[in-house]
Amino acid sequence: MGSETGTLEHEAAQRANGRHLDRSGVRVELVECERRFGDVAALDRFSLTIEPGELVALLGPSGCGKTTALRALAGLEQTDAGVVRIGGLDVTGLPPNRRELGMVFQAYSLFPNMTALDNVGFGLRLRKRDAPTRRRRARELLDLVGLAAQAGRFPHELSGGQQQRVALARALAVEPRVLLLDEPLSALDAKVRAQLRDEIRRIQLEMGITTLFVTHDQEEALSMADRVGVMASGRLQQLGPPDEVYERPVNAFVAEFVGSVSRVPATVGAGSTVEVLGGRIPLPDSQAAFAPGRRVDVLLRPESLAVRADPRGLGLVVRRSFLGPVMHVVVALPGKIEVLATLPSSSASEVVVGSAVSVEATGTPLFVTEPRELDA
Amino acid sequence: MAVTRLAGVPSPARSRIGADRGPAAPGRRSRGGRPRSRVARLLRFAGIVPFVAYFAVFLVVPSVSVVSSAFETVGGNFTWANITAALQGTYLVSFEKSLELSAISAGLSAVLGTVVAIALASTANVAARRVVTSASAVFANTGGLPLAFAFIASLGNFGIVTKVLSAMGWNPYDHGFSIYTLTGLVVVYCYFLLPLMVLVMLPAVDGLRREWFEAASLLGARRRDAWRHVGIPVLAPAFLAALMVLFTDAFAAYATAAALTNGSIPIVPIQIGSLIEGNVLAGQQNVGDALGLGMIVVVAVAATLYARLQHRAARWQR
Repeated sequence: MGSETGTLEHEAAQRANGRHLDRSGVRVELVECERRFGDVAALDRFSLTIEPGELVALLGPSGCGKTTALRALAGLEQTDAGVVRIGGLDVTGLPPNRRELGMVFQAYSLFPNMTALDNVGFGLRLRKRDAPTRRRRARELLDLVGLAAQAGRFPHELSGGQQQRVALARALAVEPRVLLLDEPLSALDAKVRAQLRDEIRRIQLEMGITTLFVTHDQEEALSMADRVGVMASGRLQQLGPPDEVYERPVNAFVAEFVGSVSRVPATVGAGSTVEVLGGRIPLPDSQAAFAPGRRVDVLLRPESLAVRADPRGLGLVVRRSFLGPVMHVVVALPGKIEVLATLPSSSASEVVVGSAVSVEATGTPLFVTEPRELDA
Repeated sequence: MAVTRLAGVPSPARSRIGADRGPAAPGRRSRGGRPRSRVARLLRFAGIVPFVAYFAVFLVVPSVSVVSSAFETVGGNFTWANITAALQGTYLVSFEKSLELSAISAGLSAVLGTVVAIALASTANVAARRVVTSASAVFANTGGLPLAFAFIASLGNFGIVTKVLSAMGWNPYDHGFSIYTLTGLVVVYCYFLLPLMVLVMLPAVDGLRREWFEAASLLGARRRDAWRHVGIPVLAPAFLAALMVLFTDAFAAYATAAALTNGSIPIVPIQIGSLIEGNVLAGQQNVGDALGLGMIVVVAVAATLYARLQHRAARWQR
């Protein structure tokens, strides 16, 4: 540990001398990390590797352990077991101030007694950079996040979005090895959130900095990340590119958590097919081993359901939501089943609330799982 | 004339024109459009009448009386003599003693009270916090004769604590301590000032966000760096404002000091009491008023500082 710490300090010294390290980022590893709060396992043999320059988003419901994982990487939370490595060095026992990380918190992390410029320059001040140097660097970073004109303002004189931009600039000012984002957009309104999301991604790509982003907003995770990790009960359920997580979930939890799905009872048919909603569709390739005749639930995306106005249909439209080019339609089926389908708005004029419709599954189900009764 | 000309004007226009002139003015109507009577308007202020009356009787009238008497002879003529007398000799010493006593007891209580408040804010033991804050509320409001006698009974020459310490081989009175000295008064004042500081500072300390310290740490700060650059500057306005409150509280305290020292320590409130009662010299009440004016000036300066610092604290902790 001592030599590794020494190496970190050596790297810091190199930076101070102007010999910058490779800006393409460092590899981050959390290996078999565990953290318990009483009886609750916030991290349960949690392992994650982030490649240099990569942005990984941890996604999951409240209490799944995603923030604990990020805080363990930051050193703000001590793990009960496991190893944390940054750039190949074991930093498990290092305090946060020696890990050379930058972090943007959910909100309210700017120092209220300092202007935006002083907030951004704070890390450089601790590194004993002279005042002109840190002011110049702070102004550059404020310019990068579009807030050069607000350099002299105190945090309470800035909007929520501006405060988060300053927090991002402050985190980047110290040229961190890894950038940590702890739900930095969750306190912002939708428009600012979308704008800042794009800015963070642009800056992260420009700087090539390895980034861990924690969020409960799947749209944020899917749109920003190189890879998305879905967590539940302290464990990583799936880690992969956004399209893979969305289209090929490894279990029912991931399928139901990422995107919208409808759970419909079905029976496995012959030839790797499944009989559902009166029709027959192929089983997913990865799940072709189900024995014929077995009762299952299939998870279907809204776009995999075709809804047509049909006076003899068994479905009853109970809700519909206009979303511009498409319409979301919720249909009640016999057996207390509700399904969500997406229709082109142009063809949904006859599918009105209270009307009878027929519902048909098309394509391949997202996932096939045990019936819910058996799960319970 | 105006009434004559308006006689034949249709009602909407009349009320519009009349609005500029008096009784039917929109500004004198309630929001719902109903006319508001003079009584109704007066009733709106009825709730603050007791406060205004209290304020007038117990603050404005005595203050005006003190200020005017400070510039009058016993016969009622204008004079600077009382002010001159109050700023020299024994009375000047009493101001110095009062300022010394108030500054030391307020300063000690402020520092120790802040430490206690920080400890309370960071403890996860909710019960301990509740007990300490409740006890602080009681102790902060304990003063006067009961407090003086409590200290005499415990730390007086023959007090229980003194006896216990003596039995253990260390009599504080053999080492220069006495409850009847300025040092003793500092100890007694701290008894109610320290809990007051805890109560005043606790909300400010609670306002310190964990994220500030974590962010500072990730930027390379050690714990003491984070306190130096963030924690202390953020708390400073609230701390100084609370210090002002403690200072004025100590500066104005009378009964405890009078009962404990029997007037042997010449602090300003005791001097005023002696002058008004005519214990020392008859006909010196107006000098007492001049001393009172001096106290008003000191407290006014402290209160102004308090208001300005409180404003800064509120701005940072929004």
